[in-house]
Amino acid sequence: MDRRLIELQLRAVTVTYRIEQRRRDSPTMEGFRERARSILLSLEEEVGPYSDLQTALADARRELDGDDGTSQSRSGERVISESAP
Amino acid sequence: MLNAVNKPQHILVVNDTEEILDLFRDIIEGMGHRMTAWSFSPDDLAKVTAIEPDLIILDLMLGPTELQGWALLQKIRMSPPTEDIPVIVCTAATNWVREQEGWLAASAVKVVLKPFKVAHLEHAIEQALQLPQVTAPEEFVEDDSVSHKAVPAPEPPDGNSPTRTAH
Repeated sequence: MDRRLIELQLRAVTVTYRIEQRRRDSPTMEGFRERARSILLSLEEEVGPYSDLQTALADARRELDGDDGTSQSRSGERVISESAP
Repeated sequence: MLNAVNKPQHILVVNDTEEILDLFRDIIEGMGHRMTAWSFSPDDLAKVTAIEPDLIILDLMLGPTELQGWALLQKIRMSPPTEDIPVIVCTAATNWVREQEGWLAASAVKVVLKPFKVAHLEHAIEQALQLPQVTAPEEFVEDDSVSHKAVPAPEPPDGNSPTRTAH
C-alpha cells in the first residue's frame, strides 16, 4: 500500500467516524467502531516506514477508543465543485 | 487507475458533508475519473440527467430528515432517464441496508458500508462503471410482466413515505 492510499484510508476512517457518531445511537456506533478498529489494525504494518503516519494511526485509534471525535459542519445546499472535464 | 476502456468517467457524489465530498474527490480523481459533488438531493431528476453521470454515489441518510438520500435513490431507479445509471450507496446505516437488502439487490444498487476500505470502494466503483446496464438477478423478479425496476420500494424505517416518482 503506498503512502497516498494509507493517508486516504486513515481519513476515510476518521472523517466518517466523526460524522456518524453525531447521527447514530450507541449500539450502532459500537459496530461502526469495531469495523473501524479492524481497518486501522490492517494499517499497522503499512505505516511502518512513515513516522508521521504512525502518529496519525495512533491518534485515530485514540479517537475511536476515547470517543472524542470533533464535530463536523454540514455544508449548505450547494454544488461544491466540479472537476474540469 | 481507469476502467477497462481507459476513459475517465464522470461520477456524481451526493452527500451533505463537505469532508466526505473532499474525501471522495481525492479517491475518485486519484483513480483518474471526474467528479461532481452535490451537497443536496435534487428535487428534479433533470438536474441529474443534465450532467450525464456515468455513476452516482450517494448516502441513504441525507438532508435534515435523513430521508432524502433514500427518496433520491427510489426516484433514480423509478425514472426511465436515470434508471440505468449505476448507483453505489455508501452508508453507515447497516440495519437499514439489511432490511432493504432485497430491494437494493433487485434494483442493482451496490452497497459500500462505512467505515470502508478505500480499496473496496475503488473496486466497487470500477465494477459499477464496467456494467453495460443495470440488470437484476432472476430470483428477484416475481412477476414476468413487471420489470425489476418496478419492484415496489419499501417504506423507510420510521414509516414516513418519501416522495416517489411514478413509473
